Amino acid sequence: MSPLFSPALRETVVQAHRQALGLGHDFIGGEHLLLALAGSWTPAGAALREQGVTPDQVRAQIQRLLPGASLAGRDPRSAGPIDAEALATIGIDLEAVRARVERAFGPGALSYPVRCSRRPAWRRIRLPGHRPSRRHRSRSGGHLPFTTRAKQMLECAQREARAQQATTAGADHLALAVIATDGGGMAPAILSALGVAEAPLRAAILDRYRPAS
Amino acid sequence: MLTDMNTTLELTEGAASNDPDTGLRAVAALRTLTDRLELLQVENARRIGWSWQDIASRLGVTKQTVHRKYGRLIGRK
Repeated sequence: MSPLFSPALRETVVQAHRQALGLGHDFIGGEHLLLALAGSWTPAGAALREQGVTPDQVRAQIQRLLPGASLAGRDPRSAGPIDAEALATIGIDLEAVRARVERAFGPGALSYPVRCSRRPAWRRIRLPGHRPSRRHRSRSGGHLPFTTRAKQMLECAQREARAQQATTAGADHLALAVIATDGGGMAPAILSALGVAEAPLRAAILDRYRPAS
Repeated sequence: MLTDMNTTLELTEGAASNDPDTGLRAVAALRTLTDRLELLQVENARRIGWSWQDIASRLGVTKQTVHRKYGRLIGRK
């Protein structure tokens, strides 16, 4: 049987969803998982930041590699990026505002300030292989789909967990899956743009690994 | 470093007062920012149990206004 996803991993996926919406993307990819992990209070998040993989750096790389904003303007609650340049002309530093808001309300809060549903976010996002109950299925819309690669990363996180005889797949296992260069995609491209190699990063994550997370 | 930033700020401020394109874009961006912050704060206030009346009085609007704007989006709790 596949290991279940831990609450920390689910929370990471919820944050990845928020980040994707905030960036105006209409999918959850490996890059959003990486961004969420880099901003998370997990051992893997600490290890990533220690190696220079900070949320700001990752976000900047995503915007450089993938500037498209397909959701922009469609939903007032995630109406694309705020014009930082225009705000700077009247002396407002958007990044300073964002930093303060995110400190109080969590990553992505300014980009996507409201939850659309009263159901907890982790229930609304459907992880691969975990079907919602029939009662919830009809109302389970409103979340973005995973890319194929992101799904593979979640499966890979389960394999990492199994390899370490863990009963649940946690955020740290997901981090190991996301930074793996053999999967291809944007996450490795971001890491190589930041000048971080997989091997030391993997070692740093495993170093901080705690089975309970 | 700091003086460089101040110079840039003065230059851009000068542009803001003269050029309608810059000025209007700044107003629009500020409005977007205000909307996001308002939504975030209202949602948080509702989540921790504030009444629509309490929220409305802080925002300086009527209870009906704030409820009409956010009632469906945020919901009760």
